[in-house]
Amino acid sequence: MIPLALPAQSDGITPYVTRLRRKRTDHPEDSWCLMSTEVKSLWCGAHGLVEIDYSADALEGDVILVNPAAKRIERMLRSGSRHNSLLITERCDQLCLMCSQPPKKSHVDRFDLLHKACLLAEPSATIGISGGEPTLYKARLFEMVEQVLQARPDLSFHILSNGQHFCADDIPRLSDSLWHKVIWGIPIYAATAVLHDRIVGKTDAYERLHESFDYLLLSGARLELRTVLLADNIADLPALAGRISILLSHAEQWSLMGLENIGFARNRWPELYFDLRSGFTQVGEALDIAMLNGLNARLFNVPLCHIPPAYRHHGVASISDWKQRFAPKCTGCAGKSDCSGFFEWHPDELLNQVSPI
Amino acid sequence: MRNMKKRRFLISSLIMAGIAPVRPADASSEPGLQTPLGGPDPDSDAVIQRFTQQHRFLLAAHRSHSSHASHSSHRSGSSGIPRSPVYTPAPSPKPKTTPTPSPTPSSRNKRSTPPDSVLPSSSATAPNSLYSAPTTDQITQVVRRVQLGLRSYGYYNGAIDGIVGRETRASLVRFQTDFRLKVTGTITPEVLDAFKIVAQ
Repeated sequence: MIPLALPAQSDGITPYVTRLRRKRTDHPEDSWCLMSTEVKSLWCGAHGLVEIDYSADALEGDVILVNPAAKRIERMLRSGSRHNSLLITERCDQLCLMCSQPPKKSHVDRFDLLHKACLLAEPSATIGISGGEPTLYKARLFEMVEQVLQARPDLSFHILSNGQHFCADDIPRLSDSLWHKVIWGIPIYAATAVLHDRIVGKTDAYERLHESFDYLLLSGARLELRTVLLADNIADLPALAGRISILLSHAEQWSLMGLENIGFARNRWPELYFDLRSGFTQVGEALDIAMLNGLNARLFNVPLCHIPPAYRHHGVASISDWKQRFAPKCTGCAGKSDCSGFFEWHPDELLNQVSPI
Repeated sequence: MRNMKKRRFLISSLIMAGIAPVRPADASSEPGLQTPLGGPDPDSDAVIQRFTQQHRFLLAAHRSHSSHASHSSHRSGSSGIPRSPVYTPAPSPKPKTTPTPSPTPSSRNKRSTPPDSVLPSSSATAPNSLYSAPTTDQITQVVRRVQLGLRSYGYYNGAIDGIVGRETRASLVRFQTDFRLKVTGTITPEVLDAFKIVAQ
């Protein structure tokens, strides 16, 4: 598992953001390495010293949040990782059946620190924004995104949102060309309000979601639609594909995502998980409809051997460092390099549900 | 002449701070190392420990001591009385060298990286002893050196315990103020420069 939080000691006074560099640099926000062993490294920067229980080579280039009082650091932007995601809040106004990151009621405003971290990102990086629900703090979020993109036009953002908070007033703002560097990743789980609302655990969520889609469309916002494959919505997928093709054909991508064995889904796995090996008909039909309508549909988090050969080109190889786990049986599989792999937290007993191709 | 005197003084205070370039073989014969700190037993583990740690730090060359230019100003502190001892360093012969940011190879593959490859590639900058299991936290060692430095400059009278407590913070603030460094109350690169503590 890639550690995101590490024990650390610092003489800093308040939490601060810094970027770790092996050698000394001129950048005022950089900390450089004073000493390193295999298990510890000591860094010094404008905010003070920080000793981290991790070797310097594994941390070089990371943008970290040092929390002296809590005696730990958080790796906000890991160097070389293409999947860096900043958590805006742990609050959410939906409660999805399979939520991978169950929400909390409390919120700690860290926008100033997140803002700093973004400014220290590697050149041309795409920064993921997630939660909780980031648009619960829409004013601060918009402000941060705009300020970061003004200072760092090379960056882009991918913001995951439940699409419950966009309004007509946002249209002029989101129409600005600055926002072309932002893609909204918004989930839609079914073709009917009843089923979607049941999955996200919120009445009238579907109605509100479509209202938001309208505002985003009027803003010319970039959109990625996301659908998690569940036992509950598999049968509904062809209808959903049709609906998206008609109403939301401007979406840049429709991402069909295999269920993650984490969060709520961990305990609800038997009822939520749909094994595509037992039936790919509906997913196949949905992919056909999408393809015929020019909608770019892709399958994430699904091992290639769970996809019939005719549809494998929809499967996406993992670029995430969280999905480099394979079963022992995968050794020698011809499709391994093109395969999604499994999440680091995928349980051992489920790992072997593969058949090498 | 005056300068000579000051410089000699500087060196002895650095020796007292345990950060002077004393070869370990010579160190035991240097009286300045033992007496000023309350005369620890030269045979005690603590003293030996201090000498062994000396491998990890070197006296920085003058080129990196960019804060020199502002040092003379600390004598005009608010009290009008210089805090003793007064430190008047020689003018820096070279402009501060600007380290070029090293290109960061981002294609690390942690998974396939053997544990021993976390060692820096250049053996010239990494004595093997650095990688023996640390007995003291690295941060404690550096903080202790800074405390010794602050004490030798007359800013700190607290314990050399390697912990940045209220007293260390307060003396860092006074030191940073007098030396026109950025006042943080923490150990910044400028503070390390002032005490010539460099990475090894």
